[in-house]
Amino acid sequence: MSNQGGTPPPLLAGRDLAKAHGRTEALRGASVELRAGEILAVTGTSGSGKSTLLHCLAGIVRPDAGSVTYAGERLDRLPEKRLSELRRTDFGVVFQFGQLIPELTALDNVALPLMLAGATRADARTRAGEWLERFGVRGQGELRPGAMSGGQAQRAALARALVTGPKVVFADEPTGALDSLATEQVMTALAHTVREAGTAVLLVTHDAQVAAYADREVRLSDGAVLPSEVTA
Amino acid sequence: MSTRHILLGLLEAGPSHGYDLKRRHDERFPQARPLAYGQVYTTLQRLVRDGLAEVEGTDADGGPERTRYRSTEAGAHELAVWAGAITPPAPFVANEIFAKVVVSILAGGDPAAYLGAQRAAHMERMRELTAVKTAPTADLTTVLSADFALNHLDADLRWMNTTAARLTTLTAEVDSA
Amino acid sequence: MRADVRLAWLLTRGSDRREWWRVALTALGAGLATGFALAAVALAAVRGTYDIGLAHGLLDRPGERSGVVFSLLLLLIPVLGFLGQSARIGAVHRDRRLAGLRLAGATSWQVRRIAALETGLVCLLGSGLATVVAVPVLLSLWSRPTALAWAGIVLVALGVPVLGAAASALALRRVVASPLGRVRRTRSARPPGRLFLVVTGLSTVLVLLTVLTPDNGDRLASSPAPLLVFALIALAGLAVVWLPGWWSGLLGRVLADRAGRPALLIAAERLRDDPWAAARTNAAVLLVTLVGTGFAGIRQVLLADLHAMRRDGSLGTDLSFYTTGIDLTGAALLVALAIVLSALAVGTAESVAARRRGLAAQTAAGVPRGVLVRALLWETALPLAPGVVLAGAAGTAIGVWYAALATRHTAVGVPYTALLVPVAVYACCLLAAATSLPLLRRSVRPAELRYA
Repeated sequence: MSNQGGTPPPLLAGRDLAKAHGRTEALRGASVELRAGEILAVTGTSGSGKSTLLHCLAGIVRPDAGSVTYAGERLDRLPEKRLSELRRTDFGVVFQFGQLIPELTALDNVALPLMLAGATRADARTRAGEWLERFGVRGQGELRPGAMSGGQAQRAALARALVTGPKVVFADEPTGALDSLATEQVMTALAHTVREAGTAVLLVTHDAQVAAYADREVRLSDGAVLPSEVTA
Repeated sequence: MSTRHILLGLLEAGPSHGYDLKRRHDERFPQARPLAYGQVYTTLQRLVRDGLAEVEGTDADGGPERTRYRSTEAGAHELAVWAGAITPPAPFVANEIFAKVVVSILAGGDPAAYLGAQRAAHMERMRELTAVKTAPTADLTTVLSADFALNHLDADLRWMNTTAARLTTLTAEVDSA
Repeated sequence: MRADVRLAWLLTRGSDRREWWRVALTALGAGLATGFALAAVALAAVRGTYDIGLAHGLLDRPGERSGVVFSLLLLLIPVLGFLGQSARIGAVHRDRRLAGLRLAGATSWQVRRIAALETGLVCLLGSGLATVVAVPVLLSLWSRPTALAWAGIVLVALGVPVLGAAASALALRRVVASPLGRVRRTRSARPPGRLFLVVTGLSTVLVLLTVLTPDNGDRLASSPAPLLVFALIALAGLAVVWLPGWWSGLLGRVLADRAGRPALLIAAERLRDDPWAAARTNAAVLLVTLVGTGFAGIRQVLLADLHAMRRDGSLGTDLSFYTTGIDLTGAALLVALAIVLSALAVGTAESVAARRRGLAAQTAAGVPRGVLVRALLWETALPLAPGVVLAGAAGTAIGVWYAALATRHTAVGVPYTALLVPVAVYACCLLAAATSLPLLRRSVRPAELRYA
């Protein structure tokens, strides 16, 4: 990509991150940088620490060691309340599943972050509808997630992650439960939208075809980033 | 890849000049290696020789003279047989990447570094193809041909990942043989 | 059979912590049920007047004894509610496990037997412990219990586990019939069925017939006609079962379309989705409110009356005989309330535990914890409100009615203390729901996200 010369400071950077779950060390000194507007794929075998890295960078879990800097702020030192607010305003998350509340309709699910930010229900629903439209699931707006197909539900989840206009979207295996056609629809929708809006994406995946939607790839192995192989 | 059958197929749609055929080929099969005009010309001559195509006439509207070809009945039959025949599923397992890994072990090189670099090259190509197919102007033909290549590259990549993880065993086996 | 026991044990041992909660609470419930039933059986077996050194002689005469037996049996209602709620803990997991067993080739009877054994053995544990405590207590009070009493004790001690086993085998009918569907879906509670409607209809007819029958004679003497009381109780019971579920659904539908706050929206949609989820527990809460309010009213009037009678010197027996009876009834009601509140707390905790992955995802997405907490409290508070008001009103009406009958010696107007009961019960319910908040806090830890 054309990032040579006068590289701006990264939007989000994790340095020497370490995190253990009980006795298993998920991360052992991983460092990664995310620049504004880029899609960065984090790949690696299962158990290599991909999800934990995403959780640390998104301020969902606190690393045991190392630092996370977002727009000049040390996330690893922020109080939980402020982190929660940041995740609400500046970040969006998409998981394999679980980020849609099963009892709420797709439209209300997408409207929820706006309502949390203080919008009225009617207002939030109107804007949520526009986002569902962009992801081609406007017609399913009154359905609950359980009544939608996997691909439709994930597109609604993308709409929910993007509706507040975040700076960074964290996607953890967003297509993990989808077939290849649905994967293509979800990833194309994601790529188009974030490029249009200039949103940066940290995309955790084990699927090379999904990682190919990114501008760059970082490979994890045993909780550390593998040195990048330079071609050409 | 049988250029003669592809040209026969294009002729089935209606009589054409050589140049026209090349243009239509490149349109129908984006991302494929473009046909050279010379190759089109020689292939057409062989088709005529074998009675699968014939010259319909020549046009010269203002420019240089151009020969117009059309498919014959024998050509249509040949095409139908070819299109229905099964492509032999990987009759020979001969893979350049695998060969390079083995040779590299034999010659005392660094197969792991090679696999890493090859992997990065594959990923780069996959990103290019993905960019091509997600471009707003991409039509379905483009998407499908890109998908075909992407799936093959993905298969290579998965093979490279498992091979990289088992290089030690492979080295021992190759060295002892 | 041995193989089944072994399999049941293996499956239970391998289950997660929540299932151990179910086992423990089921055993507790079975123990409580056995305890109340044993007390009732032992008292019922006593013939004629017998000097029991308890409760100021309240248990000495057959008349009062039958009242106590009836109260003890009534206490079984909240216990059953508690057991029903306990059975839901980790039920999804157990159902999946049994469905898996069925898919692995077990016959439907094998699955039923294994499930029945599991529950039966747990209940046996509870009833066994209760019996072990109850028998020495009984022997210390009653030197030589009759054969009838012993028979009753054995019947109860064994009957509770058998009933538990039968109930769990019956509850499995859908798992057995369609194991595949059961592996995936979580269950949502269903509204009362046709039988419920039939019983309601009959009770209503009964009440109408009794009321419309020409009443000749003194109201105080002829009423409470046992039939009328029974029908009224049945009707009240059915109403309290039906009302919260129906209201939850209605409220959910109405609020879900209008709610402007996220917490209220989430609560409303959850009520709309599964209005009958807490219906059984709520029914028990309402029953306790109804009886408790009524009792508080009656107690106030009765005590005033008794004190007045003592001043007149027209009181035949020792005052403490009556106050003990009143206090015992109050204690029984408090016990019932405690059981009901435990059931409510267990139900809320189970609902949080079942959703912990989703809750963790919401937190990760930046939904403030406060919103999730408020949604949980709304979900408990909203469906109960109208029922508690109605039950409180009905209970107060009982108190007022009683006051109107019994103002021979004093002039107590409206027993206002009764009005405190529904308020207190409602507050206790919210507190009971709030006991699961620490669990919510733990559940929304994003570490839960790791289990994909």
